[in-house]
Amino acid sequence: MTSELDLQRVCLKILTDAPVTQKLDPFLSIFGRWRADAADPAQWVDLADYAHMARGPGIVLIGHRCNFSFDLGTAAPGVLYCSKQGLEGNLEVRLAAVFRHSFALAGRLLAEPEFPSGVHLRTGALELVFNDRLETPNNGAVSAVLRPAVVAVLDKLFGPGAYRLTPDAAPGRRLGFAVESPEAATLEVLSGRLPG
Amino acid sequence: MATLALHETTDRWSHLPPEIKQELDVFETELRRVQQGLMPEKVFLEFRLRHGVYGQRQTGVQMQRIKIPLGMLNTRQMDALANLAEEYADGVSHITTRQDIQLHFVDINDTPNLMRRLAEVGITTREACGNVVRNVCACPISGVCGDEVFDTTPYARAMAYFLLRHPDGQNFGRKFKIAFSGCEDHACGLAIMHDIGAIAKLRDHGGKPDRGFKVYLGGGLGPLPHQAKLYREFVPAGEMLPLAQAIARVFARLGEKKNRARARMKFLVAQLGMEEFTRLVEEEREKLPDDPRWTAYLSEAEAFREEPLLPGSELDPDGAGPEFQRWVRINTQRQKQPGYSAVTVFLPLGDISSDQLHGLAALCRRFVKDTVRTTVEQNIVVRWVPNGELPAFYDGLRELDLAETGSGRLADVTACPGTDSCKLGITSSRGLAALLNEKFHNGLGEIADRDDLKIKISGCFNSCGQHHIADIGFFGSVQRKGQHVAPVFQILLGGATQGNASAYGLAVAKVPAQNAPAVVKKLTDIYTRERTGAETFTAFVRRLGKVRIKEELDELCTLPTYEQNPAFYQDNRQPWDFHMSTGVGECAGEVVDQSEFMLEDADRLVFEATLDYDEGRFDAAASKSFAALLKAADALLFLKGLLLSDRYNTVEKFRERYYDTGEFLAQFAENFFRAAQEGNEGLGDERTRRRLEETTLFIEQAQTVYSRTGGVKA
Repeated sequence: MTSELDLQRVCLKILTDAPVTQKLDPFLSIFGRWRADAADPAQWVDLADYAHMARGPGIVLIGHRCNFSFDLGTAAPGVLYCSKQGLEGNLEVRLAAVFRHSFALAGRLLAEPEFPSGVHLRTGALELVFNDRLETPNNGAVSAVLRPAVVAVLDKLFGPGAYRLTPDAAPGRRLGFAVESPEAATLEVLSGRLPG
Repeated sequence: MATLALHETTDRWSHLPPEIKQELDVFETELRRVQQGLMPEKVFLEFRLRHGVYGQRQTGVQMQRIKIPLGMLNTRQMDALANLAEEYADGVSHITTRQDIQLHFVDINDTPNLMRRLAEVGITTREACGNVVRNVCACPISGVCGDEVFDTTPYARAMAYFLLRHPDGQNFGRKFKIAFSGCEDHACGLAIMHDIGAIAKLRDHGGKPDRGFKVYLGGGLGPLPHQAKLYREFVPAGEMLPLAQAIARVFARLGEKKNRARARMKFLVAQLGMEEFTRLVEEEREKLPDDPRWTAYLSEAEAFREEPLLPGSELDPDGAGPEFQRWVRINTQRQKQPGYSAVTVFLPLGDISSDQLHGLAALCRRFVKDTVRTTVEQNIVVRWVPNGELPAFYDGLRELDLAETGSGRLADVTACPGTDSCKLGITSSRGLAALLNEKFHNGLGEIADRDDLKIKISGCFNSCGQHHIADIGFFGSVQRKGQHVAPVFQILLGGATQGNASAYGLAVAKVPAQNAPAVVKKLTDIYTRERTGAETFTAFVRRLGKVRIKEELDELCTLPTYEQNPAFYQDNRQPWDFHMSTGVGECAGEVVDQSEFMLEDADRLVFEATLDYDEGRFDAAASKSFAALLKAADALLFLKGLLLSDRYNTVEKFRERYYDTGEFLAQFAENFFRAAQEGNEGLGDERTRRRLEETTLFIEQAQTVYSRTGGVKA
């Protein structure tokens, strides 16, 4: 018996030059405002404040369709978008939607007056993680199915051959890829290259 | 959508133990049934609570409580929890004040697979919430503590698994909590604040030490805290399980069911008096049918020993820097076994990220066997670390940002979820705890390491943060000034965790939430300045008196007007105007008596039987259909006082109590008797179909009889 791959949980992190000790209070104010926007398609629920954790997910804006945060959970702080449900279409279309939504929220975050002035997004340094060990287990078969879709989206973003794609092969980890491109295009430019 | 041969879907969970797989399949079926309007929401609410699924304050998301008996974890379980937190929640596992683990912001549609993935590593969420026996707690250093009478681990564990799913634990008016402690003096077990508190004791038995427990009954916190009353100075270990079963039966039979505020066992004990309650329990104990599980574990329990991974060794006293030495002093405890230490991983607010939990699991695999426990102070204890390996273990923790000092100190603040997620929360208890945590790093650093004071915070009067047993306790409230409402905290002083929660504090004043950290500073200053000798804070508060303390705090207790300082009208770490918004909490669950649950289960079984019938699986359909008949009959027999644990013959008793008396329509009852005679195999299409129809009618009639009686009377 086979099954269809229903890709819904995908995380995209845009790395930044922020220190791991980045103060998170500005995000408390920003997300405190965002969460009240009932019309946002993300269907925000509330925020979760984990600023007290030395290495935590920061202040997470929780939505029914996605979560969004300034993440300090790994050595590389960044703006983290995690889709949870609502993706439709083929794998490439779904992945493109994740990139598009992520760039849109990141752009909005950068425009907030409280966003820390010294922090810059590294739009050529991304981490893509398939956040569902049941649906997308980290194995060769699933990776082989997903990789063409990942490549198709990245080709549009950065151009064929203009980026490096490194799979995370560590056992027990979620299936994921690190993406590095020398290009430092703005979020608007990158979004404009995506279909839809 | 891509079509892939990536994973098997028909039998993905076939490796689970059959009874667990079935239980979780039933959970998913019931979830779908309520979503389709086929099950009353009230019944599903209590049903999902009994699987640990608790509605959050925010619409459409759930908190998943995961039962960790005695707080015992192995590394596979830690990895599984970390996976689930990052995939289904917000990437954080939260350790509770009763050694459970909670995930927040979970979509209810994810809960069936979440539970199945927990079951793969031997964890259940069953009875984590709801009106049932909750997680059994125990001292996290049982077995390695030099002060304990004996290791209570195997006894507490036997209690936890004996009562899990036990039919006598399914019909309470409220929750039921049990804790074990290895000694009388320390705070680790908090036995005296539980419905059943058991403290290890030895008795001389013909020259040999006989293991048993000093047992307290009827304790509990909540808005009206009660200290447990002594039941017996010594209950032999072999009598603990039947004693608990007898207590559960008495509580289920006589405990309040309607007034939720007075439904805990503490009120029943107070109402009857300990003497009468004891008499009833002992009478019930005499009636219990023997159960081999009561004593089957005892010989293994006596022999129970944990094993280290590495040989014991000693620490080089000159081998590391001052930060390490400080961490050793504060976060480690020498075990009674020479050469080993128990290490406390201090987790501010009880939170650990998935990356950290994975990292900690990997670290534990290097240094210890599966000897990890969560604590009631919301930390993690790793036992059996060789002393000589402490520097390497410390380095590993530092890499994970888990080497912070503070466990057991003033900085080790306990807090319930409060308005972050709880429907009952009034103020942000976690916000205050986070603010204190920040201050202990910056501004209040000089008092952070005090080991003579404890702070505990609840977001409302319900005491989930255990504010009554803290030296300095806070619980959330509100105060109106003009048109504006401000968050405030009641300050309770004089509680004690020592001596198994031996004293409960009393309120002395109300302080604006913004001023709570200043209150902590003021109180510690006065205590430092005016204590005499080794006077405890509890004794100090008693000596000083409330009037004097209130005078000292007066200036901090004044709430300015909104116009004077609007910041006082925001809660801690919530930079927006405060407004009070509470809902109906789910702590008390719904009183759904056992008959109602069983009738719902009968409905579910006949529904599943119909699906089997449609697929041509007639034997399975007939079998499930008969199971539904039995379930419905048992539901009615429960109304007559018969308990499943009495192991009666359902058909026989149903004939005697309902058919012979004419209380159930004879034609439907006769169908049941005929089904019992003809069995479930080889009935074929037509007869199976008739069985299904007869079962439906039988259940309908059972519902009618049940409705007529009005259910079980409290």
